[in-house]
Amino acid sequence: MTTTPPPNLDADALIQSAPLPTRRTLRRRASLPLQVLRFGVLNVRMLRMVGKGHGDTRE
Amino acid sequence: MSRIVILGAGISGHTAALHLRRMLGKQHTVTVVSPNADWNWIPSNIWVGVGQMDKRQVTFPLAPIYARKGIEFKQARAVALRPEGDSAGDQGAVDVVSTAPETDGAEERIRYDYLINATGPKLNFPATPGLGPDGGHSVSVCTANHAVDASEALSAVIERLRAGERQRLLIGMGHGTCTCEGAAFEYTFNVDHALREAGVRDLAEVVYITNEASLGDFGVGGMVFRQQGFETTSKTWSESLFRERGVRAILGAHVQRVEDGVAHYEQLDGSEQSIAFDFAMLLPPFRGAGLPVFDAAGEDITDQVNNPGGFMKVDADYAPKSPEDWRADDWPRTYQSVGYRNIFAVGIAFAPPHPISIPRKSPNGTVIAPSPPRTGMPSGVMGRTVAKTIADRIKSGDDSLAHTASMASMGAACVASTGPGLRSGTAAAMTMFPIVPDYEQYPRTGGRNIKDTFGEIGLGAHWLKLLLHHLFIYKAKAKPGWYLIPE
Ligand SMILES: Cc1cc2nc3c(=O)[nH]c(=O)nc-3n(C[C@H](O)[C@H](O)[C@H](O)COP(=O)(O)OP(=O)(O)OC[C@H]3O[C@@H](n4cnc5c(N)ncnc54)[C@H](O)[C@@H]3O)c2cc1C
Repeated sequence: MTTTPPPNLDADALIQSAPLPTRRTLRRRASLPLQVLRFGVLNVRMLRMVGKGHGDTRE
Repeated sequence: MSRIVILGAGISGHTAALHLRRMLGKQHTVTVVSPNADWNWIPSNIWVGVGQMDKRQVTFPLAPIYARKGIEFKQARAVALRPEGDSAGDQGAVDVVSTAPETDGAEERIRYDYLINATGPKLNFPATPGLGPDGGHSVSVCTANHAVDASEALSAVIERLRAGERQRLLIGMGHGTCTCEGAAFEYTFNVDHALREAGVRDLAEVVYITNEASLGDFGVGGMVFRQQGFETTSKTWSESLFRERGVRAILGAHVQRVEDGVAHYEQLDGSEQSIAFDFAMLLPPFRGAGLPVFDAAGEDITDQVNNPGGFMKVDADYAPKSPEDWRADDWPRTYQSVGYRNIFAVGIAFAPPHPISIPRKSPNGTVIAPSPPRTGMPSGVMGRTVAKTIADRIKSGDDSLAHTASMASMGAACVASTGPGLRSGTAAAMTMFPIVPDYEQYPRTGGRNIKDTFGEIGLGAHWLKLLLHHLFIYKAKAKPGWYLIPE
């Protein structure tokens, strides 16, 4: 069990100093054409991960 | 002819049953024992919990599917395991008690050649006084019925907000040793979304309370992502999302007790505090089903088979180790139980060797440490892997080598998605590979392959979650080609 170093529990300060997405980033996250592309990319990445991790090996 | 008995019809048990039935001829019997008549796609309970989906959209009756596939279904709860048989013979047996309305309470001893323990978590609400929907002061989304109650409580809060009353919503982990942080994280952002849709977000304070020492830990020690040419962490990524959505957080917290409208908690620095709430969705810690186990003479040998948490010991390295000595190899590969070649434990039912996230204690000695998550994807993979091992042993002899699937060599995905519509939703998607970090193989990137470990926020991730919802329910209904859909 780890008691040191103590973690920073000041969540309010941590959250307030985190990067805030710009309006452009927020627009991109909702943009239909871009998100269709991202959906495709996400599916390919998921399938690649599944392909790697679901592969079968023997003892 | 062999008889395979599967305890539990959740993600891992149901997957194992369907694969075994597909792989074995009809002369072999596949029996599923599970107390609930319905199957539940648990990840979508989150949407039920904010009223955006109906309970019927996330559950369906198991009996017609098992009848169609030729799987025997006993609606019952396993209550004892006799791996060495009893006075009547040395074939392994499991004692079950019926939960079906017409035979409620009837006892039966079922003999088996192979047994899969897929009993999932026991929701341990009593670990925290006052926690939970049954006699406690908080709601839950762990079952579809819990989620329906949570949605009703949330609607009441929204009504009060509409009437101009300020409300505080507390969401997170109801104990210092909880797991499933991803689910509470997802519910938090669904609630935020529901409040915005209702036009009442400005009067509501949303607070996420967690046993994680930092945001983005998710019980897996956090992740390293690559984003826009930089390496960043799931901590920064999550903190950014909390800032954007105006959600507050309480970190490193062990909820000690919940009273009507107030939660008392201790933090990792040893301070003890209270927070008042108008709505609290707090997840319970998990125990294993803790089936008592008896040898042929009727002696209790539970301690040899299960760990103290009620999870079944399998082929993991259970030697106590400090976190610096944790290795990917500590994690089980075959899920074969300790001592019994014909018993396997998969999904949440197997005993993990140790946590993944570094465990911590407060100065008062309170353990505040996320337990290791065993999410849907690995649970399904374990079910299929064990099904293959059993099918091989039946077809080619009991000395056939086991198939393997370690959490240190498989990935997992967590998609925290809000909004049911195609245009209105958004989601934060994370994947990691492998789940258990392998610092020998990936020393520079937090023990994980950075190409397969990423976080992404946007509408596309929301579509992915919707797609997964429909695909997995299609698969669980064993519709044509179901086995082509990966676990
Ligand atoms: C709210 C929530 C959201 C989640 N979201 C995600 C997500 O987005 N992605 C993800 O990958 N994972 C998610 N998870 C985790 C996922 O649901 C679990 O990993 C998965 O259900 C584990 O599968 P399992 O088969 O081990 O257990 P379960 O699916 O819980 O199944 C256990 C089965 O055993 C039965 N059972 C219990 N006791 C007995 C007994 N004594 N005898 C016989 N049967 C018994 C139960 O009735 C049940 O049918 C979420 C979990 C929760 C609670």
